[in-house]
Amino acid sequence: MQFENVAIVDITETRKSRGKIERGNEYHSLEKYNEIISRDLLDSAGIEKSDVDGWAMGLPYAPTDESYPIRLLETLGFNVQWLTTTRDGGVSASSLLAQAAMAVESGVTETVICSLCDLPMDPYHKNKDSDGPTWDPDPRGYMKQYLLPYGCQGPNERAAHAVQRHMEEYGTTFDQLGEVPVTQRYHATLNPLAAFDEELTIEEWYESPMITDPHRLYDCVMRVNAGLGYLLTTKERAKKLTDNPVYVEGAGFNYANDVSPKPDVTVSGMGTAGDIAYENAGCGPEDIDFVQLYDDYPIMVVEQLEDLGFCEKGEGGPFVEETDLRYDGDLPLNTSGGQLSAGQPGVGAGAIQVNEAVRQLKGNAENRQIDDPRRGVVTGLANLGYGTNTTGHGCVILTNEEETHA
Amino acid sequence: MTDESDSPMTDTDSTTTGPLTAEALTADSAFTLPGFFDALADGRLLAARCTDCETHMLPPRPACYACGSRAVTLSEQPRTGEVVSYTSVNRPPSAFEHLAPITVAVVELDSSARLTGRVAAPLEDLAIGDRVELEVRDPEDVGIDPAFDLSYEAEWPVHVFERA
Repeated sequence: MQFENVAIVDITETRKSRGKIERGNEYHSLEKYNEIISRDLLDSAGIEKSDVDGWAMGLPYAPTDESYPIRLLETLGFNVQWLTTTRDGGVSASSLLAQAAMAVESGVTETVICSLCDLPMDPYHKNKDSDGPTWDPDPRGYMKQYLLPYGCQGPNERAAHAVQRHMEEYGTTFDQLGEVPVTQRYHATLNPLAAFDEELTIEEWYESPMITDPHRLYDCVMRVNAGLGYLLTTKERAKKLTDNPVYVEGAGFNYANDVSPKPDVTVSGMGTAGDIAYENAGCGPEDIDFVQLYDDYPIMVVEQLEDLGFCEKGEGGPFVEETDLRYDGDLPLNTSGGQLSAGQPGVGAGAIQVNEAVRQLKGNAENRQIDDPRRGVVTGLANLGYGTNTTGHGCVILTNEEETHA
Repeated sequence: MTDESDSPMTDTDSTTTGPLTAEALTADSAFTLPGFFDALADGRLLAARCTDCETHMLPPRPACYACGSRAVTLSEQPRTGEVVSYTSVNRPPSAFEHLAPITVAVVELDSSARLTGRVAAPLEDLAIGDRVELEVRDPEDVGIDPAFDLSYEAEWPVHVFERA
């Protein structure tokens, strides 16, 4: 999809919480998170509630009732004329951004708040596994019936299978894979909103406990509570509300790409989503100044770099080792720390990537600001399945150049 | 199970195929998990085989997810195969804690069907391409706490791969 008349005015993001009240973690209800992010977005644009006529909402994984989106708007006092929701896992943030952009582009709404607030670590709704999520993550019994009896508990194991295959087929090494979490943690030390911001060396990464070989502790993404959001409107209006709007240049999606019984887990479906996004934006990987790639595991970053054309398939390992991925390097990667260090806020997971891309393109990334970036890639991944790779993929290309379509 | 029209759900490699009826998908049918595990307890590992494209599906599914055909039948699977990928679960939930580390592999059976399962070997002794053979075990012998919320475990068997 191409966009001619839509822009992002600004983004907002709360601090992260692991839901440990006794450790002084900041914790809010879903309503409060939504209130905070909507107020922040209105304040930064200098507009009133009545100026907002559309809302795009990521449906939380935390349990909500059937009319939750409408009741939330009632609670917050927003009377809008367009409402959409999404819940396609880690693709939600890029999907919601594209949906809102399409709605503005088509004229059904002019000014839209996108909100992605979730609290997977709610301390007041303990289940019997006190560190686990607060809802039943397995309502259809898929985990209990197929995976638990085999000793598999979830994505840590499933992604480990992909790492093992990548190492076997392409000779990808630990030194290479470790570059991703270590570089991202360096970025997190520069991000006051990151959940995990203590320095991490490659030695400490090597010494961290194996969780599911070859995944170490720092390779496994951690759930956090948080609220994230963005404000979209027409180009014309955006230029009145901010000095530095960000434009949606192209977007591509790919779902249920490989449901065969014998998928190649070294390939993600991001190739197709990325090709569509590049085509719409009229650009290619050589035109990209930075990448904010969905990072539930380092292998997913490596595979996406391959599938998005930054290197050949199988060369992702050497690529991350030889490329300076820091914010001031050759191809800045996940400059807020990514989800591996900033945390994974439920349905807002991919918004960690969207928000950081917008910050960078607006020039608001402060001590981790990339030097004059023009164009960045944002991705979302979802549904790491049983013996498969991810089967949900979203890719959005953002720019701060108003007229760029080739 | 008296006439031919009822039999494809339980007959291994029946020649009669076609869409399964809702009535046929009872707990006795190996196209449902109870039926699948009952057969496994009897020593039979059953997959669905698509008679149009020869895709094998484990556990059995009532339609082919490669070509969409509903002309599926049950097919008893070989117990030997090779490791496609593997990992070791070092931090399992409480009910499995005493079993850790648990080696888990995706195995491609000689029929081409894939099955995930535990491997009775430490991670460092395993490699992609290794030959393994499926064994069916009683859950109590494997040491799963029956008090844990896995009610089916009390009667359903656990499959474990041994190095061949």
